[in-house]
Amino acid sequence: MEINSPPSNEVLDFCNSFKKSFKEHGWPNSKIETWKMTPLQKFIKDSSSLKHNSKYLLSNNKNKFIKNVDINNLESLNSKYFQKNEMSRVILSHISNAFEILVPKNTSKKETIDIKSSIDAGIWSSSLIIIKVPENVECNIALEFSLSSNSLCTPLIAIDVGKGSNLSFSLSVINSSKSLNASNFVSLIEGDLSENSNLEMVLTQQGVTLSRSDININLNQNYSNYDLIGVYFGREKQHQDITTCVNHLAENTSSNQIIRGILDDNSVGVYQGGVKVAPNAQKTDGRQMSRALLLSNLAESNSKPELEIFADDVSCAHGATIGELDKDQFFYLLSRGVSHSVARELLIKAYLNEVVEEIQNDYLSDQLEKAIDFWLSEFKMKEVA
Amino acid sequence: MSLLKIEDLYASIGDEKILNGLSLQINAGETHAIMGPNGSGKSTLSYVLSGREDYDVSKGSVFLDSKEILDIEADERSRLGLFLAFQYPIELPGVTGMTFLRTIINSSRVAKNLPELEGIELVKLIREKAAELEISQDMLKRFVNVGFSGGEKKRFEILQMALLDPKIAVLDETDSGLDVDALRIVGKGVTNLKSKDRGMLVITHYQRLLDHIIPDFVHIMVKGKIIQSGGPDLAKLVEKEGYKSFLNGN
Ligand SMILES: Nc1ncnc2c1ncn2[C@@H]1O[C@H](COP(=O)(O)OP(=O)(O)OP(=O)(O)O)[C@@H](O)[C@H]1O
Ligand SMILES: [Mg+2]
Repeated sequence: MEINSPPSNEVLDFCNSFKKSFKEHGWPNSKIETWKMTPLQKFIKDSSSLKHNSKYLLSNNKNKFIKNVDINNLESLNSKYFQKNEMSRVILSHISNAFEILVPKNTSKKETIDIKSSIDAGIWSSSLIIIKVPENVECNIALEFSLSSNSLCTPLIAIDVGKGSNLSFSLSVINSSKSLNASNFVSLIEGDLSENSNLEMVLTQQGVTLSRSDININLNQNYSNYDLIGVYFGREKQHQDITTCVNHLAENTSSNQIIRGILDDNSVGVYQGGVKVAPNAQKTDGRQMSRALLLSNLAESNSKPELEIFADDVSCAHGATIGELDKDQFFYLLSRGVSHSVARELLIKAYLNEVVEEIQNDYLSDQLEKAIDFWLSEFKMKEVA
Repeated sequence: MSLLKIEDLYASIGDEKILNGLSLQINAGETHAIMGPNGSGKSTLSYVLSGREDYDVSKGSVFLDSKEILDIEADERSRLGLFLAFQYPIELPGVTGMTFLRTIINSSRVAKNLPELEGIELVKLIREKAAELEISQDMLKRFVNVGFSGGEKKRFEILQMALLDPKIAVLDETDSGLDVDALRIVGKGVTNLKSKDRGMLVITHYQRLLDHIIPDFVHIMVKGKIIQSGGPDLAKLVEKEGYKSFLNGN
């Protein structure tokens, strides 16, 4: 089923207020701290020549829970975060699709909602997706964005997880064909978690010229938990960026961000991992660990933790490593007759295996493995060529 | 015709000269043992033969089946029939034993123009050879060499050799770290792999492995060079008297 909900006039009126500030300020620029390592102006040169269109495809045919976004949704979201972000004005002032996914009560963890969006050449897809998970359910949702050359995709995804619920959420960015140019993905992901709720997220980015995901999570109530597994792949001159801010706003909240980067050729990877602990958020456990594997000596990885801790009884850990394929492991494989390309593939897969194993939820680990295999299949073609 | 022929080989790493004019010839069906003091260059020889990159070979040549292999890459040398059982097998976290064995078996089959093995056929082959070396199915599910005991690592090396069926096998201290039972298992495993078409080069410090794998020739290597060759009795002499007499004679 196709999801195509053009915003109502009321919603458009609301969005118009953002148009003015977009005209004035344009895209986020490198003067803004969190955009220093990802200079958008280098990648997005002529967005005004693109046509606005945004389509989503729901693979299982349950449309009951897809609703148009009305102005009330926006007003309530508005109070939370629209104003806070330089990107939201870009997205909302160009919006052409806005819908809500209302996860039904009694949803069990067997249920999956798979949504795909292909962005064709010459298109700018700017959209708003609100995902509402009620209390005490378990649910799996996967969103896949597939970009073509000369396309732009700017989704704003707002996720609300109700008390006692678990949402397993996967977002993947892939290329619709080999070697794209001028295909840019800039997303905003906002999450709000209630008491005892869980958001487990797998984010994969690959194949596009620029990919930036800005993730802002609010652990609003006690015992809420956020897990992120973020994996980005870069080749050619691609630029990959995962920027997060996890706000611990209540007691006994926890978060764990695990990032892996595989960078080939001249590609660049950026991870800015933020953890903020409010004064009242005692017994916070906030972790982040990022590792990048450089397959070429021209590839570059930047990792910057951003910690702001105002409570005293907290445990926060962060770390970052950058490495290359292990020479001894490589030789061991060669000495068994394994070709250079297969050896590299095997070791890259092994490198990522650690995070695949980390994921308890089969649906999410499948999504991650699919993304890894997709990248490796193109990697293999490159090695053979 | 000799399967492996090493002629006047010189190799160094950085400024360190390690092999200094080493020559050795192994014919099909023969088993040779190399013994020599620590640091005499035995492992270096095994690495240079198998094509590890860190070494600078300044002189000499190596023929495998009358093909000069020094300019050939490590993976190709293996596919030509050279196998090295590592003194210190490398850990591969994230790669299970099964995946690893499937990959190496099929790499070698493709090189021999044989169809790749998959599914039950593959599993059967691996199980059968693993059982001979008393390697459990559980061990094959684990990541290669990660957390393996010394003995398990060495048995896993011999399993790879059995599966790859090389023309020339170089075993670098395959007996080190083995208890009596493991030594018997490995000894039997290697002996089973002796054949009239295969040559073996066994690097060891002790007679005990040679009790199982009886060599046709024993060579004493000192300072990157073979200084004496003889029959199995030479190993017994080393066991009894150490290397003193050889060093003095040199
Ligand atoms: N990467 C290296 N850099 C510098 N020197 C090295 C390197 N690798 C080996 N060597 C030196 O080369 C010499 C030979 O080492 P090798 O490992 O070949 O000896 P070996 O005969 O196998 O000894 P052992 O019986 O202890 O296993 C030693 O002196 C060692 O220190
Ligand atoms: Mg050695």
